[in-house]
Amino acid sequence: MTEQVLINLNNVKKVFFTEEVETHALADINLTINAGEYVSISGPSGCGKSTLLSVIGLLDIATHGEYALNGHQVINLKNADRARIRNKEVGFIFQSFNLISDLTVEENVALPLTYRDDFTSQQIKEAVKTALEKVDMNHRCSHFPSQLSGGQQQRVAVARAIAGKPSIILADEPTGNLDSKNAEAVMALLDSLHQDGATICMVTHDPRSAKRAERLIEILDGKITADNVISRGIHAA
Amino acid sequence: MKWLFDIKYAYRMLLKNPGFTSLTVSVMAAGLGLCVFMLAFISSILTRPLPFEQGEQMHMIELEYDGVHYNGGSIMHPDYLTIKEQSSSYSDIGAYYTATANLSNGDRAQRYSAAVTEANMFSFTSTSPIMGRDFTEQDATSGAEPVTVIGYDVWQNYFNGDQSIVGQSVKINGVDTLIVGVMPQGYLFPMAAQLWQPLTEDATRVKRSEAAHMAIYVKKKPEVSLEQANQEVKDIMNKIAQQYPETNSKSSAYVATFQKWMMGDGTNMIIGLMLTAVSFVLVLACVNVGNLLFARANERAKETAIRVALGAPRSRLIMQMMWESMFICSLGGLFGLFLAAWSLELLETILPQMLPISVPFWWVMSLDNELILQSIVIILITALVTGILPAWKMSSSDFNAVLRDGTRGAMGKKAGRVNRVLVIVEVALSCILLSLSGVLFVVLQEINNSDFGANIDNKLTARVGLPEVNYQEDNKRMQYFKRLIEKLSTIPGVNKAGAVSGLPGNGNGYRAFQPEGYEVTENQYPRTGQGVTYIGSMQAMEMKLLEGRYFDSRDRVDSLPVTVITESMAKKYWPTSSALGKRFKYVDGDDPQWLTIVGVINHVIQGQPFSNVKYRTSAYLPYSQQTRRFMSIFVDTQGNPEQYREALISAVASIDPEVPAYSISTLSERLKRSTGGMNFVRDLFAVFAVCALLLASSGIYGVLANSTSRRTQEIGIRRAIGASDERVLSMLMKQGWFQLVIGLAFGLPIGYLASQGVVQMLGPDTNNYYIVFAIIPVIISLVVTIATFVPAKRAIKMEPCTALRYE
Ligand SMILES: Nc1ncnc2c1ncn2[C@@H]1O[C@H](COP(=O)(O)OP(=O)(O)OP(=O)(O)O)[C@@H](O)[C@H]1O
Ligand SMILES: [Mg+2]
Repeated sequence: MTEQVLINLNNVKKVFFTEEVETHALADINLTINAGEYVSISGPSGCGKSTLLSVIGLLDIATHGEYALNGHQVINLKNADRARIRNKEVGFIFQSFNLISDLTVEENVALPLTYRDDFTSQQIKEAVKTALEKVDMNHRCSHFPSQLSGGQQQRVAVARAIAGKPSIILADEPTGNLDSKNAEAVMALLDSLHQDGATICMVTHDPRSAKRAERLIEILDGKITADNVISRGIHAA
Repeated sequence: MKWLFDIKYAYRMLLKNPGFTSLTVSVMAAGLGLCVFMLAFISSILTRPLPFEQGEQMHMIELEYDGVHYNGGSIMHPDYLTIKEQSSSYSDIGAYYTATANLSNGDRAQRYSAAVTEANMFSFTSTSPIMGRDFTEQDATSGAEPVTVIGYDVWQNYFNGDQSIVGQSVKINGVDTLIVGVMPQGYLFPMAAQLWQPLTEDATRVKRSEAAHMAIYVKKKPEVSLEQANQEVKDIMNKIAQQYPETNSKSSAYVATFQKWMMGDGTNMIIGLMLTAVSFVLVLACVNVGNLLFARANERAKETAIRVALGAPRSRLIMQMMWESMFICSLGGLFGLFLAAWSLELLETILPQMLPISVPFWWVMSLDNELILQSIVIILITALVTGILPAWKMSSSDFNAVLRDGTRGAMGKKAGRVNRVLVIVEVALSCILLSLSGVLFVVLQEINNSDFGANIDNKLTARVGLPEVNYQEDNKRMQYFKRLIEKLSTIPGVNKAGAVSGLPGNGNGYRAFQPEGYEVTENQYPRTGQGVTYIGSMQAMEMKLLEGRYFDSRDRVDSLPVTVITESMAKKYWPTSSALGKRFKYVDGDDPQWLTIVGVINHVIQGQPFSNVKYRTSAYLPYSQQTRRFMSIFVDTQGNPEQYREALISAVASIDPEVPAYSISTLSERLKRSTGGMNFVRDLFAVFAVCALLLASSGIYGVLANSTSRRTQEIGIRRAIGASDERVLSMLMKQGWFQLVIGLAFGLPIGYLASQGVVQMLGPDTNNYYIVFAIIPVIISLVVTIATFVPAKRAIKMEPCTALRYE
């Protein structure tokens, strides 16, 4: 199969400067993720997982190094361009769902699409419907987030992440706030998205979740210490 | 389409927080309402064109004497004719003067205000009579049959709307006059005229010094600028001055709109002051609502961060916030417009009772289309100003940190600083406005309690004017007042009665004079007031005699010309010895005989009881030696003077049914009117200040409530680890007090400087107004303390565990 490089990090460093201390959250990260991969990132608390995900998702800028997304350098882009790329290419799933409480389910999913110029209202409607169908939340489309269970909220968040057909889905401990049953449902959802061809990059503490991915990256003190590709077959069944 | 998405959301957010919404909307309503009100007020008294065809070209030409602009109809008739002949700036020109018209039909007399005008006045305003006819050139020739066109009010009130009024005759100032027309309702041109008479004077037949004085109304050609017109008329007047230096050496003329002409020069300052005050209030409102929006945006920092993570363009984030401020400002503006319209209506009804003059017809206090359009523009600008700052701040904040830890406090530090500055600005602004209105209040209080140098209590007063035709001779006039005062004195309940040319607090002629033995270079003459009093009137008014004697029966027309002067005049011109027996003469008129001082009375305020006018000196002459046709009469009554109104009217009518008593009011009422304009300004400022304080306190309350609610978790933690309630409370209160002190540190000095304008204009005797600067900090502190205490108290009322769960 032809491996299309989606993400290419080259010597990426991230240093936080606070009043007195410099925190080296990421040190010399070299990482390539191909289209269609399902990557999980794990490591102890504070090792830099979330920071790495933020850099990949253009929520944060690396202090040093190069980053090519879909073949384009994105390190020195202006805020507006980064926002545009984030909107189009990246779908986020957060640990704490981060739905907007005063928007309905439908509106939450539609929100990123309303920031785009290439979607008409009709197209937005259809995309929202498809995404909600995928996560099986169509019947709750006019509810507000507070009227949903945690698992349901996270499914809506997933729908929001995929509605715009992004190149990559970034998930930071997507099951961290869920009980095991709901966690399982969300993981199954990610599996099926992956099977439909989505590229997924997920941070998780949970080894069982991590094993559902086909590539396992481990980080310690801002450095990649292990990067193993697991055979695809294991979880296919 | 996508805007709809944001609009819907903004709308939903406002509905969700009715408290927030009503607070911000009412703040905006107050700010915008005041602003619209002021604009409408200024537009109607100053800038709106007259409601006639080509109204925007209608102007007045008036006398400028020695650099001072006059507005009482002061251009000499021959000068007018020269201007008319030589000027080319106008498409239409005419002249008039105001006169009193005593209408009588044998048993009832009533006094009206008339305009004696050139025949073209009605065509100038393109208004025709609703009945009868216009003036013709024929009416305006000297010796023509006297005719009049009456106003709607005269027709309705004096003639009871008699349909066959045209062609009837009525006595005006004792002259049989034919009524030829009735003007439509509301027609009061040139200002507040109630009837019109044609100008029949023939300027060529009288001496220049005896010519009638008039005001000129013109229609400026649109292509001529006001400056050009002014230059032209000045040039013409200069030429006249060269030709007739004895009458015109200091005379020039100016062109002004009717509004400016009527208001005089001092108004610009008052209007400017008011405009400054309203803009302050509006700025305050904007700052306030901006502050509240910002505080709330802070609470929604998480949500904004999510939007940013999802790739929202900055413009959309800003627009999102703008919609909310747009809603708030539009809604507030709408309420503000209603409020303004309502207060304007109210003002229109109370204005005539407050002002010493009749209200000119163009003072229509209402909102017109142009004003509404202006208001909409102001509302939009306000929405922009209010929304843009918080929106900008929000959209450029560190969203990543917010997303990461998910707490609301992530922006606390930065936002907190901005909020603190905003509150400080509010405290300072309300301090400035309160200073202004407070100082005005204290100074006007002093002015309103001025010692006029007379007993002004329990006096009912009126004006009477003797028609020239019947009262040409001095002894007829003397007879009239002798009989009138006797008659008035016999009214049961009346203690005393008198007649003076100008009541205390009302102006007297302020004339140039020469004290005997003073070397005065020409035109450097000092000035003093000239009043005329009927025998016994000073005693009746309780103007205290300090030296010499009052007027008495010794002072006859053929005896030594005498005068009684005020102590202020005596001290000023004869400081070293008694003024008794000294002499002076008025030099600016045709009565240059020496007057011998026979008495000195206490200082009497003749004119406004403030500024320099208050200190103007006066001299009084006995009526017997200086008769007048127009006098003010008064009675000193037992009990409420208002109850003597009927008795006074019939007493006056019983002496001569053709001479009515008019402008009947108590003296204290009359004096109140003379400061009415000032009191109005003060009340307006008080409204501004109360609004400002309300705005500031609601703003402070809102901000502190928001910041405490943002810190709920922190407060919970502090208390969980053992901080006492008092400690937490004092921590929160300190924050409010800190801002208060800084705000006052800026506001008080600026307020002091601003109030010096008022002080300079009104010239109070005492420095009592300093007390304002002691009281204001107390009031503001109190309000700030309450505004801080309420939300702080709420925070410590919550159980610590609840506070900790509070996200
Ligand atoms: N905004 C910031 N300012 C300063 N230091 C930061 C900031 N964000 C993260 N760090 C530091 O960077 C390091 C990496 O943080 P990161 O959030 O990536 O860890 P993590 O691997 O996601 O941990 P966890 O599993 O607990 O979520 C930590 O030491 C953290 O203290
Ligand atoms: Mg993390």
